[in-house]
Amino acid sequence: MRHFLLGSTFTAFLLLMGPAGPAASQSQDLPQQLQIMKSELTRNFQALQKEPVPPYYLAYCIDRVATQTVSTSFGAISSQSENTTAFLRVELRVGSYALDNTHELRSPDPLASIFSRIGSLDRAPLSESPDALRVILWQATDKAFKNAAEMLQKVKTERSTKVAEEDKSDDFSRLDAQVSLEKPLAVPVDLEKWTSRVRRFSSPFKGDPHLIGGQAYFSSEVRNKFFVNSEGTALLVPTNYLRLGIYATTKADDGMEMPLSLSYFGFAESDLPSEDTVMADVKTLMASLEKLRTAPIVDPYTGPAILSGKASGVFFHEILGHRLEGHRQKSEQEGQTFKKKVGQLVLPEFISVIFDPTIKEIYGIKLSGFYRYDDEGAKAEKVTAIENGIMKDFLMSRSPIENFSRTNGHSRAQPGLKPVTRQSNLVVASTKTLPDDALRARLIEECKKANKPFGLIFSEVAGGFTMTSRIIPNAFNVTPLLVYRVYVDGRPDEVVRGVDLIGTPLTTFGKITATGSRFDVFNGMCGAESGAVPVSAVSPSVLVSEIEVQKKAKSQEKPPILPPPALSSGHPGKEGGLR
Amino acid sequence: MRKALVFCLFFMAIPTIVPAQNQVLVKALRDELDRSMANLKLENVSSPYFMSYLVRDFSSLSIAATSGALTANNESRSRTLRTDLRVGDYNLDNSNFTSLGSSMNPLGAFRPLPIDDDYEAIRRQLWLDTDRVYKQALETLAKKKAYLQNTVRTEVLPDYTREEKLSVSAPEPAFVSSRAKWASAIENISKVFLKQEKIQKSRVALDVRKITAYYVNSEGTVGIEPSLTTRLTITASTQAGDGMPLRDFLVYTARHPDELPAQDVIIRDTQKLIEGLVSLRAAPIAEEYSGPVLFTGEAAAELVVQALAPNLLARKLPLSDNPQAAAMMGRMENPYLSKLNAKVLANFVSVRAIPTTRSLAGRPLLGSYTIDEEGVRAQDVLLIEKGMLRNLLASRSPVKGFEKSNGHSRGGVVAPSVIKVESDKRLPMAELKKMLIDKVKEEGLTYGYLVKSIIPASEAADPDELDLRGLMMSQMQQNPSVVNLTKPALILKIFTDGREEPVRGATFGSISLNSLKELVASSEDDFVYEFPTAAGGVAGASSLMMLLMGSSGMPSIDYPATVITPAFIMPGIDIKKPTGDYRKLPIVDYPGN
Repeated sequence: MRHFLLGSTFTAFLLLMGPAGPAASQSQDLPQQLQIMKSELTRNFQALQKEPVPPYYLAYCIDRVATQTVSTSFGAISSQSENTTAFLRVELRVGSYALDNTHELRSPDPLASIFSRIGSLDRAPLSESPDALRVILWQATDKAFKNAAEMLQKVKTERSTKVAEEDKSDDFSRLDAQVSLEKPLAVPVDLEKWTSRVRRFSSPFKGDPHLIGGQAYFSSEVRNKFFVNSEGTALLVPTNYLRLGIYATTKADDGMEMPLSLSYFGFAESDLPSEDTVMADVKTLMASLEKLRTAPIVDPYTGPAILSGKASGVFFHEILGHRLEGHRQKSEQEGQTFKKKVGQLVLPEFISVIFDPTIKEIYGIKLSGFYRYDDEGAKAEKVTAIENGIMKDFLMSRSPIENFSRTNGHSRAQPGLKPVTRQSNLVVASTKTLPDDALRARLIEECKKANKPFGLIFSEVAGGFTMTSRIIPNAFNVTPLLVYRVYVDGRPDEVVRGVDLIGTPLTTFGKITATGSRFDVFNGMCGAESGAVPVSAVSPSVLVSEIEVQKKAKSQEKPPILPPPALSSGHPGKEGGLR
Repeated sequence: MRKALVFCLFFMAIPTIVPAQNQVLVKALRDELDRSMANLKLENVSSPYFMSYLVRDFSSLSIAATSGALTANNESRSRTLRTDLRVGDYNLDNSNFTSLGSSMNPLGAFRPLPIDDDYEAIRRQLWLDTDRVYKQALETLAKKKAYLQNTVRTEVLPDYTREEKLSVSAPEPAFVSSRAKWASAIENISKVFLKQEKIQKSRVALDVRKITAYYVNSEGTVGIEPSLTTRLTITASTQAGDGMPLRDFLVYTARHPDELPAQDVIIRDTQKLIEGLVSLRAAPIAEEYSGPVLFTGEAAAELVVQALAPNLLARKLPLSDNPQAAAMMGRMENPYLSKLNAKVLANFVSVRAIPTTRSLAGRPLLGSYTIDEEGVRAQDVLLIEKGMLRNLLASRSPVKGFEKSNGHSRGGVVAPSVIKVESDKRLPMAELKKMLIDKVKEEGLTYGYLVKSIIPASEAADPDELDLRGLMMSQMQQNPSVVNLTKPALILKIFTDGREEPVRGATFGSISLNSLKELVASSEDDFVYEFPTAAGGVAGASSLMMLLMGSSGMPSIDYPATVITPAFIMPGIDIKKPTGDYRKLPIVDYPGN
């Protein structure tokens, strides 16, 4: 049934090497797959030098991805799959580092974006097949070369017909050869074992008649990246991502649907929690759902609030992180909020924001934004983007922007798609931390100051989205799942529902007044131009003196007319009744 | 090129396990349907008058190889549910109406259902989906009634036909997934392409699907329709010296993969495919031509698929309160709907649908089935009798003149099953060619054309030459009385002295449906041809959608259909010479060792 990644012949070539000199001298030591990629790359690159517009850069990237997934709904399997795909991406550049075929076109072909979303349809062999691999690489290189030559022509034409761009930086930066050869991973999980587990995880949902969804899923993804380029880089980078998720939705009598979820992430099965822990979390989740279902609705509100570590992490990811992605500072379509803010205070002085793909875990929690090399073959680096409130650095790929010429290893993509600058592990650090109780006291204080009867605590969030382009308002939206109302008069906290957290980036930052001392982690998938990439956001809880919430769009459908089907264990009396 | 004959040699009984048919699933469907019919009602509005559940239990194996290495090897299993719930009555209900902003995607109606035979979990999903569909049905009926208040309808037909209660079930074929065996066979076949320096790209793809459709409705019908289909497609592409892209393919179909021809037979065919393609590189370029053309074998069949089959379907165009949608749908109306008892083909030609014929001369007909997806038994239909249109394939949504279902609803629309073209004027191939030459001479031409194969509509979207703009344009400009055939894969000139010469780069000019009345004669032999018909649409228009779905990992939903036809001569066909520029030949040499 299963198709595993690597044959045993392959592992015989294992080597661990540090950064080293020119890779050419070591090609005899490369694993077979990389050796073939390298020799075919050299052959094609050299042969194409005879062309009138020769390539100056060529890279082959093969992501062999083996996924195993299972999902269940109310205790029964809804889907199960085991797949292996080897995505091939050929990057070929003609022109020069200063101006090449990848230069942004200001009047792009509207259909081109549809194509780029489909991504490369090229597939490499699933296992070692030297002859086939050569033919596939040869064919894909020829196609890439012709496309590149055509694009460069368009770029040059546009240059002569349009006004000069604001950002005059080069199209590609130079990078020394990187060599890192790790042992390829082939660690399939026992899917049957996980199937019976996730069956159990979604079984308790059967007991709640108000739930309109109750799912659990597990996925294991083993990714072996093979990368070579014409600068001598040769990489074999394995990663394993394991995810366990629980997702349930309840429906209030007014039709509002409210989901809550649990998610767990790890690099090995041992990183995931025990079955008992998960079952206990499921129980808590169900209790929260029941509270939410009958919770009062909050009217649109502006006032003080605490964002939990997870909520704040998502908040920073949306409003800050996406605006620090380097390529957005270059595109003439983008809002470029921070482009001219380098060296200026953009956050309160007590806050620093770091992107660090090199850390695998923090406070014992694994971070899904960890990687060693990015999708351009550059070494992952820690980036201090905001230091003591001052804007310092952008997330960079090999596409330079004004004043930032080198990559810091943040060029990322979903396998098969073209990489752009993306986030990694976002870490919010603070020098002004308060214990939880004190932070809460400060919230109440702020409420009193603002003459508000209550403040809000955003505890769980599903995620969020943001718009960074020039043509639509530059706003963000964070979707809270679990929100508490904290009363000034000492009444107990109360779960409320029906709001989204909204705002515009710059005004919101100034209103962060303190942070808590406990950190939390949000592991998730981030979607943008280059597909879905795993990221994380780590943050203490933050106190914001004024946030804005708007009414959540809600379903207009009434709750189900009939009660759930009376089930075998039986409440026959409920069957058929009207509500 | 399509190999058909070999199948009869390899025919054998399909190994079947006769399982206790899926009792749990059927009981869950029955129970929730009964409960909903009895109790589902909102205050002041009507309860459903009709309900059905259709569950498609889907298992598939897809293996692909390129240049001798596997590039895909996937197995998947899923179940989807379509709940059809109707409020109002048979004469006027919530169906056959689209509203501004409502989805017209027939696949949107399918929702996932647990694949475990877990009675409680399945019923819970049925309960939630039924509730959703009931509320939607009420809303649609209200909008439809509002629209009708201000509309004078020129013809009033019921929305849904009454049908008899049926109970149909057949044993499920075994889906013996000999995955490893087939993976190695596909890899071996693909190895033929290695060291073929002239072939730029190749793909060998095996697609095995087992689908069991479970249907229950409130009229008491229960139907279980299992099917197993296997399709092995081999495609190869190259460029001629002047850069013209050339592509050819082989398709094998069977029910069970073990019924495919032996590996060495396929390998020999593949070698011939390569030889043919390589020699085509040196062939002369097609010239402008207007005159008689002989369509043989799969070319004749593909002509039937693209030109005739879409017009044999009585698809009801829904009413719409969206003028734009109404205008668009109006343009798509089948011209044969108004041609009942009028002449549509040459007098010597008749056409039947024969979905009840499971096999022909030992060869399985994949388009056959017993019960359709509206719970109606598949019926044989005489469609065209000696050139006169007598009937169309129909579903339970009646269309003027075609007011009774004949069991042809699949994938949410009326779809073809097994279409058989019959002829009273049959000649041996040699005489047919002679007749072509006579016609050519009569018209004062020096040669005629013989088309042996046409790129199937289902393969028309080549991911490498993806002409998105062209496909979009062709869909927007669809004029149903004109047919734009896909390109020929193999077309030859026949000179008056009988000499045959393959040419390259030819395309067809538009063919008017009326020209089908001018068919001249047909061959003695029939050709059996299997083709996928996409859910909710014709094959041609959907190949792009299939490609997009394929790349996004969604399972494409299509239904097997069959055409049985002799070769025939059609007069007045325009052949166009190639226009436009080509990409250069590969710059770098084919990789060595």
